[in-house]
Amino acid sequence: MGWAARPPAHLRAFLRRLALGLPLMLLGLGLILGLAPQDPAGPRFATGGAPLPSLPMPEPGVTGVLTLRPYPLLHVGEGGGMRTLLLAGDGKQRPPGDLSVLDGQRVTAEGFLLSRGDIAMLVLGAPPRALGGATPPAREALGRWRITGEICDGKCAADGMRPGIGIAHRACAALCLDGGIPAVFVSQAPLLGHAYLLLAGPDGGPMDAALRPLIGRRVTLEGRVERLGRLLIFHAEPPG
Amino acid sequence: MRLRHRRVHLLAWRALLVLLPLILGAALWQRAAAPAREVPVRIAPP
Amino acid sequence: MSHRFVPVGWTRSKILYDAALLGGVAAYLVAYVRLAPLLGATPLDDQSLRMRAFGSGAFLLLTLALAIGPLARLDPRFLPLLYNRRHLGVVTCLLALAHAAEVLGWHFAFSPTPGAVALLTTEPGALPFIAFGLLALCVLILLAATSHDFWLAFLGPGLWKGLHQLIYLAYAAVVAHLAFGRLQDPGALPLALLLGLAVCALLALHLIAASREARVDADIAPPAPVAPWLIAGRAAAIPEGRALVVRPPGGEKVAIFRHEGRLSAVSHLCAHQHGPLGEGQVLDGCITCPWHGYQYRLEDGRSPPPFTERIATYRLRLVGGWIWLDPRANPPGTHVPALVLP
Repeated sequence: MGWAARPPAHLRAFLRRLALGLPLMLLGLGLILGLAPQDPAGPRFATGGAPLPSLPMPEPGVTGVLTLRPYPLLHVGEGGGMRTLLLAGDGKQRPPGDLSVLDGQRVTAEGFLLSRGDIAMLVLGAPPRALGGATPPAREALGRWRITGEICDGKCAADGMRPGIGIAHRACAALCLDGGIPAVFVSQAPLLGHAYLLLAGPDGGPMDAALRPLIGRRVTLEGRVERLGRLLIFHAEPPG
Repeated sequence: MRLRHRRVHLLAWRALLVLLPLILGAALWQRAAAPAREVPVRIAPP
Repeated sequence: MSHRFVPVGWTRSKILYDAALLGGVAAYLVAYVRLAPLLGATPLDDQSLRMRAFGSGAFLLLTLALAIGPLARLDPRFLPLLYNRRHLGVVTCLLALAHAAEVLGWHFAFSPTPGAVALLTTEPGALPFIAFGLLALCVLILLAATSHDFWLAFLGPGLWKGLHQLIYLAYAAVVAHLAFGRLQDPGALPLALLLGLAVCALLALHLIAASREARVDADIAPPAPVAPWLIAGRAAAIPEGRALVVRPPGGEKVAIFRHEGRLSAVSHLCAHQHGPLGEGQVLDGCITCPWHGYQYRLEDGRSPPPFTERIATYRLRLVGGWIWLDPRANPPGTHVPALVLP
């Protein structure tokens, strides 16, 4: 009987087996679940797209040309070596300060760098400082594409979290996008060598608000794709 | 167990018997409804 | 209440039970969070890893807690697990809370949107899964908070038992939380298999236990030639110190105990948690509940002093070796002279 201080003899062996078997079973289950592939994006996270060139980080800061559409971006370097950094602030927030006066200017910025695959993000600790006028880099149109993948935020997808995509992460991605972090589209298969695309709206601005309910799910979207240095920009239209 | 509780208990189990397969079925259906793995396609040149 | 039973007492088997339970939980968490990464699991950030370990652990324990009931009905050797099931429930609730704390401190943190608002606004469109998790957590907290004997006494066994049957709702919510959440991601196959297996095993266990009970329940005592008496069975069929459980056409079951050549009939329901008294035995001259050891005197259904629990008693008659039972219950604690067997 369960309430007895010492179980009766015929039950003792049974209970001893249970008392040993249960923790062992849980240990095994923990291992199996722990070892199961956990990252929805799989190994492509580390290998997708072009390798990152080395960046002069973190001191004395990065110098480049700032543009605001579709999101605040910092273009570092020249010509073929140019690298575009997505800009964000601390946590799930847009970059600090009023950037509108800096559009198209050469600036210097400090912060820390996140990168995974072919996207890189500079998390700014303070507003960038203007250095003078500059010409924004040219974009190359690549036509209209139909791509299957997942809408995510640029910070978590750029290694801010692991896993930074997937349905369990959906709420986090929605909060990041609400807070002004650039959106990215994680393609199921690389497009011209890129697994991660910056996700913009059809009008050239930020991602269309109608796409918010699709965050974190596998979806097929259509829209024009542009190349900006080593970054691809996907101007996705809302489906239907 | 008192009869009334036994009835609730049996009812609850019967509800689970219907509900759990229904939930799992809906989840599987939702997964199947997601677009298949697909390579990006260019549908129009620039 | 029984003189053997001390509400806050720690018996050796209770300590062993808790040791096995906590040891099992610790083994699970260590295997998931520490061993698996050493053996080459995909590297995750610490928060996401703990989130998953706590969440899946809570699901496993909840499945176990729900399996104990039908297991104990199928095989009485599992009864000792039933006795301390509430400890399992409290540990499950703690794991679920840890899971929620990790999610709030990671996915819902660092945002200008307050966590409470974010919980309700970040699942637009499609089937939500956070809401199901929240529902399950609320039920688990409510049940864990009222799992102490104080609440059992305060609410009464009827209301308490009713409240704690909400656990079935919580289980359905947990399954939905997993099925519409994590399982929608590719790479969740082992978890999906485990979920399917757990659900199938649980439902199968219940079906087997229910079909066995349905057979017992169908066995209604036939009326005797004189109303309102029922024919309960043969006196010789009851072993010493044990009971025959009789189901009248209406009302609760009755347990007829044989002790030292005398028969006494009492309610089959223990006053504590409505445990199956008729499956217990006579110990130290008292009917003893198999669930928690509450004891009652045979002749009047009262717990021996200083305890005050009472259960209903019934009148018996012996007609030609057959026991006749009057199915009208006496008020709890009514003295009925024992039926002396010839």
